[in-house]
Amino acid sequence: MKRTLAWSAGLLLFAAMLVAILTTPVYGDRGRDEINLLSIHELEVATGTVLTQPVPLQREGAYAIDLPYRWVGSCGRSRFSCRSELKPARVQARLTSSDGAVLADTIESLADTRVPYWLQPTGDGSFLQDYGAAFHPIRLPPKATGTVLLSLTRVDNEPGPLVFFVSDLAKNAAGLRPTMLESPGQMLDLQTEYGAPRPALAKAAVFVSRVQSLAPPWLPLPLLELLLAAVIAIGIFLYTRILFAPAGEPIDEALSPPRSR
Amino acid sequence: MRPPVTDAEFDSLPLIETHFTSRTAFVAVVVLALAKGLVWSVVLPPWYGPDEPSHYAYVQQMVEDRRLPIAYEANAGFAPEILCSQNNVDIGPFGPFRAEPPFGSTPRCTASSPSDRHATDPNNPAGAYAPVYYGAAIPFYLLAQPLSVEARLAAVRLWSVLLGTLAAAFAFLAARWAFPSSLPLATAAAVLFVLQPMNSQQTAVVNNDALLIAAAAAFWWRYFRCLRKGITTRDGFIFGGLVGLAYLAKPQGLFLAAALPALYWFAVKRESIRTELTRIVRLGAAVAAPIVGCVAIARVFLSLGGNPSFLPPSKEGVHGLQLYLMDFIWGNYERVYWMYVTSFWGYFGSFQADLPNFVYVIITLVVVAGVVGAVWLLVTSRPLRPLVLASALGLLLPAGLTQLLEFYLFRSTGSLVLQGRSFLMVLIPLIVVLILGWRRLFPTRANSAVAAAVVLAATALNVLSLAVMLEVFYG
Repeated sequence: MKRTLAWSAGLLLFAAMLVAILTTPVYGDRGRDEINLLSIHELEVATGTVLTQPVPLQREGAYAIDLPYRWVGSCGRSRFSCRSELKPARVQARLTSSDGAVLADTIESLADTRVPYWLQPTGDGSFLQDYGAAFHPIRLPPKATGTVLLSLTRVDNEPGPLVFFVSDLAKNAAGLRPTMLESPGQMLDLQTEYGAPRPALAKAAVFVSRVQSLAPPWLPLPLLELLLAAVIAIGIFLYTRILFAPAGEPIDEALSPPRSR
Repeated sequence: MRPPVTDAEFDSLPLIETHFTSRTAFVAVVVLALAKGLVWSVVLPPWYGPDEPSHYAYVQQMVEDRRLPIAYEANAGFAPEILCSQNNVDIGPFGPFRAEPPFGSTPRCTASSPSDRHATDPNNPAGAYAPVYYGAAIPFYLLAQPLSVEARLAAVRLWSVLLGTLAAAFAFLAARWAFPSSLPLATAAAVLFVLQPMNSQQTAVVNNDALLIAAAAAFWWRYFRCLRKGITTRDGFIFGGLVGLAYLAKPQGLFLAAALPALYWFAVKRESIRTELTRIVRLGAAVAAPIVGCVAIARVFLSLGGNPSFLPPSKEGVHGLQLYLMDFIWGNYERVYWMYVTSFWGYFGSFQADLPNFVYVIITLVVVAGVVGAVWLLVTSRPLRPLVLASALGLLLPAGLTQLLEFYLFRSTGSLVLQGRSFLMVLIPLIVVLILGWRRLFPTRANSAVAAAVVLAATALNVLSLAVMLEVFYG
C-alpha cells in the first residue's frame, strides 16, 4: 500500500509539472531580430527624460511591446544593500501611428527587478544576468499596424536611475532598424509580441511546425512527437518497475576483498 | 487448502507484475537513450550546438576538400553553404552567442552551387583535434551527401546520437558494477546519466564531446568492474586503449588516466614490495603502450594537417595564478556557480536557453545533499568507504587536471575556456557518489524509492529542458 501511495504521489508530481509546462502562458509569437545582443548596453534614464523609438510591427495581431528594464531604485545591485520596499518607477508610454494619431497613452508601473537572493545564490549564471533585466509589456491597441512610434517619459520622482537597454547602430549587422529620434546612432532594445498570452499547449501546433521546418527528412511528423512520448513513457515505465521491484534485497555494495593477480 | 491472505501479505502484494530483470532495464535504458538523442538532435536548431559549425565543417572538409583542416584560425574559411545556412538561423559574422531566436524555416539566402560545399580556406578552429570523431562521422555524411547542408548536418548529428546510446549502455554496465546487488539503483544511475540535460545536448549535436563521453563511459565501466574483480594486465591494456581513444577525441581525455592510481590502490591486494613493484611496472606498461600509440597517431594527424600542436603555446608570467583565481571567483563566485551548476546541468544552445532559476537552486541543494550523504558514508561506513573513495577520486582527479589545463591556457590568453560540459567525462563517478550519498540519507528499505525518485526527477528535468528550448528557440 505504501508503494502504491508513493507511486501515485510521484506520478501526480510529474503530471503537475507537465500541466505547469503546458499551461504556462506564452505569446502567440515574438518579433525577430529585434534586440541586438552584440552591442547591447545600459542607458540610465532620469526623471523627465523622453525617449522616442519607431517600432516596426512585423505582422498582424501585435499585442504588446516588451520593454527590458532594470529598476533597483537607490538600493544598488546588491540584494543585501537594501531590504526596504521599493516603490515602482513610472513611465508615460505614448503610442502614435505613422499618421500621428494617438493609439494609446498610459502610465506604466515598472516593478522592482531585484531577484530574491535564494533564487540567485551568486547570480543565475546566464548570459545576460549581469544586466538584471526584466521585461515589462506595454499593451498595443488591436488596430496597431505598420510602424508605431513609442515615446517613453519617466514621470516618477523616486531616487536612483531607471535603466533601459540600447544597441548601437554601427554594430548592427543589418543596419536597417530604425533608431531613437533623440539619439540617431542607437536603438532602444524592445521585443514585439503577437497574439494574447495563452497556454503553451494552445501553441503546440506552432512549436511543432517550426521544429518540423528545421527537422531532417527522416524524422517526419509525427515521428519526433512519438519519440518524445516514448521518452516520457520509458521514464514512467522504469519508475514504476523500480518502485515495485521486489523488496528485501540485501544491499551490500562493499567491495569484496580484491583479488591479487 | 490455501490459507487466507493476511492483511500484511495483502499489503505486500505488488500492484503489477515485477519481472524487472537486468536485461529489461538494459534494453529500456538503451532505447531511452536512442529516443531521447533523436529528439534532442532535432529540437536543438541547426548550428546551435557549441562550436558546431567548426566541428561539422571539419567533416565536410575531409569529404569535399579531401584534406585535414588547419587549426587556430577564424571561422572565415567555412564553405559558403555553411555560412549561408547559419545566416538562415540568425548566426551572423559575430557567431551564435549573439543570435536572437525564435527560429523556423525562414531562408534568407540560398547556396546550391557545387563550389559552395568547399571551404574557402583550410582553417578551422576545430582543426587541432585528431580526426577520429570526424573520420568516423564520414559515413553519416555520405548517406546524406546529395541532400541539403542542413540534412547533412542532421545526418552527422546521428553519429553523436549513436555515441550517446553507446555511452548509455556503458553507463548501465558501470552502474551494475558499482551497485551489483541493487538493480534499481544501477538503473537509476544509468537513467540519470542518459537524461542529464547537458549530456543530452552534447550527444545530440556535432561535437567531439560525444566521442569523449562514450570513451569515458567505457572507461568507467571497466573501472567499476575492476574495483570488484581486481585489475589484470589485460585490463591495463584496455584502460590504456580507452584513455588513448578519449585523448584522440579531445586532449583532456588523457586526464582519465589520473583515476587509475586510485583504482590500483583499491582494487589490488597489497603484497611484498618486490611483487608490488613488478606489478606496477607491468600494469604501467600495459596502460602506457596504447596511450603512447594514440599520442603518436595524434601527432601524425597533426603534422598531416599542418598543425603545430593540440594546444596553443602558453607563456608563463603573462597572466598569473592570482589573476586566474581572481577571475575564477569574480562577481560573488558567479562563474563558479555558472560552471558547476548552470552550464553543467542545463544551459543550451550557445547559451540562449537556460532553466528557470529555481531549478538550478533545487539541483544545487540535491547535489549538496548527495555530497553530504557521501561524506557521512565515508565517515560512518567502513565497508563502503573504498567504493565512495574510489568513486570520489575518479571524479576529482581528472576534473582537477582539467581545471589545471584551463589555468595553463589562461597564462597566455587570459581567457577562461572551461564550461560545465567540459566535465561530462566524469559524470558517471559523480552520479555514483551522489546516489551513494542520497541512499545514505534514507533508511535501507527506501532504496527502491530513492532509485525511483531519481528516475522520475531525471525524466522531469529532461522534459523541462526540452520545453525551455522549444519556447526559446521556436516560441
